[in-house]
Amino acid sequence: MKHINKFGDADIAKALLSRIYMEAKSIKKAVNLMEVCGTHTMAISRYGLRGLLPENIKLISGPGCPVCVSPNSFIDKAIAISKIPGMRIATFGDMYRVPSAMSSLEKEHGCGASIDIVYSPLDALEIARSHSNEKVVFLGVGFETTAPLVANVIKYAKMSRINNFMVLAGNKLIPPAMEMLVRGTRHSIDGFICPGHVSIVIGAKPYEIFPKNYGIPCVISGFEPCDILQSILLLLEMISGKQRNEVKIQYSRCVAKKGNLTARKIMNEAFDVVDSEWRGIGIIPSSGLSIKEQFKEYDAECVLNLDVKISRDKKGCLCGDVLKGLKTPQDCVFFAKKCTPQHPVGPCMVSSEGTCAAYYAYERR
Amino acid sequence: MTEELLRDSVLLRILRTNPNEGGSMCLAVPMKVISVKGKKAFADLGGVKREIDISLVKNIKVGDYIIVHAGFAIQKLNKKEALNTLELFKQIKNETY
Repeated sequence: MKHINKFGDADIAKALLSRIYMEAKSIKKAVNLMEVCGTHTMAISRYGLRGLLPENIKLISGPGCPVCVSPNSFIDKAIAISKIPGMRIATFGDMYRVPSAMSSLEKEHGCGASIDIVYSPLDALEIARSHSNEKVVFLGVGFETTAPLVANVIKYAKMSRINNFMVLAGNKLIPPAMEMLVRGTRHSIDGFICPGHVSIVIGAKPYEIFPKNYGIPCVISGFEPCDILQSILLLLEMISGKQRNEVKIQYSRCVAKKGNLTARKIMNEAFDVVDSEWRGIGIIPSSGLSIKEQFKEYDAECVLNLDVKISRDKKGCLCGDVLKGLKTPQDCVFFAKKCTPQHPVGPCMVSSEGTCAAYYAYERR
Repeated sequence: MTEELLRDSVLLRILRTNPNEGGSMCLAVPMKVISVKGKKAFADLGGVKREIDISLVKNIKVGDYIIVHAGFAIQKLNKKEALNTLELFKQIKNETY
């Protein structure tokens, strides 16, 4: 047992938990902590952290899964593109199986559409390079972690004059969505576990509005069990009043306070910040990215002039409320019955970062 | 030391159990830089080597650990901070028991 991973060390976890219990006892009231990152949701479920916590400490999942928050209209646009002769879709794997009201990319693939699953937007650009007789559209989904990469690839395409490459822009920004959830007095969020890899890019500053304007403390957390437990402890210490309300960085081995300036600069060069539609939430002001005018020949929406009918969410599917942290997967009548990873009804069951997929894999009772 | 930290990490496990590697969208993993050439580097993750675009992070050197997301380095791992966190864990453990 020479190589024990210290971030997952059971004794450290126990020590952190005993501190959490002490802190929770001193707070007395019920505390809701929201994680806003699909990878955190997965790690919390996988390690059974929910069940280890004191009764008055509840972890709720927020809109942290990029595929899940992409609205039906985005999927319908992607499907419409896949039906145009000579078009090729390149997408991250999670998007492939997400059902809209009528179809999914997977179904269209089965009907003869050209669809490639890629690991990186760089791979999509490579496909465009090697398929010069086709037009390749990359589905730009993801938060601030992914947006700089997509921006960079758009710039590469322009530099190397690859003219058969486009992006369907669907990248979104996390802090505006978090703010949407806590506006008004009806929310029940006492603390935010902030996304680690989004914060690598944006740093700590965009979260400062939460302690300052809403009295909600934030901790940017790593993904190992002890990281998450320490983040919970730090949040409780701020909620109990032992520490001042602020944005703390627990994941300091990866996240610098000012974030990654180079990545943000490239992101700003290719994208404008626009209002954007989120599944279950609706339009959130200044929460999305669209491709700048100077790169418009790479903007699929601009070039292809898509005419897509608005489709509705599946009746009865609770994905929208699950994304807002108002419902848990078990509240949904479809969960683990009609809706499974093999036959998903909504995107929260498809994506490997989706809350329903996490509960299905690890927390089915 | 850092290699010990990385072995068996949650992120790695999620990546390993994920049927399509590109699936998880904000998932980033630490990789060790083997060689650097201009804006590209070769990096290793448990024996799997891959070319990584390093244009988003300045001053990457051989031996550094980089945080890789979808083919791009998005940050360097800060070894000093990693050890600080572990030191804090150790303190908490010693104070509790």
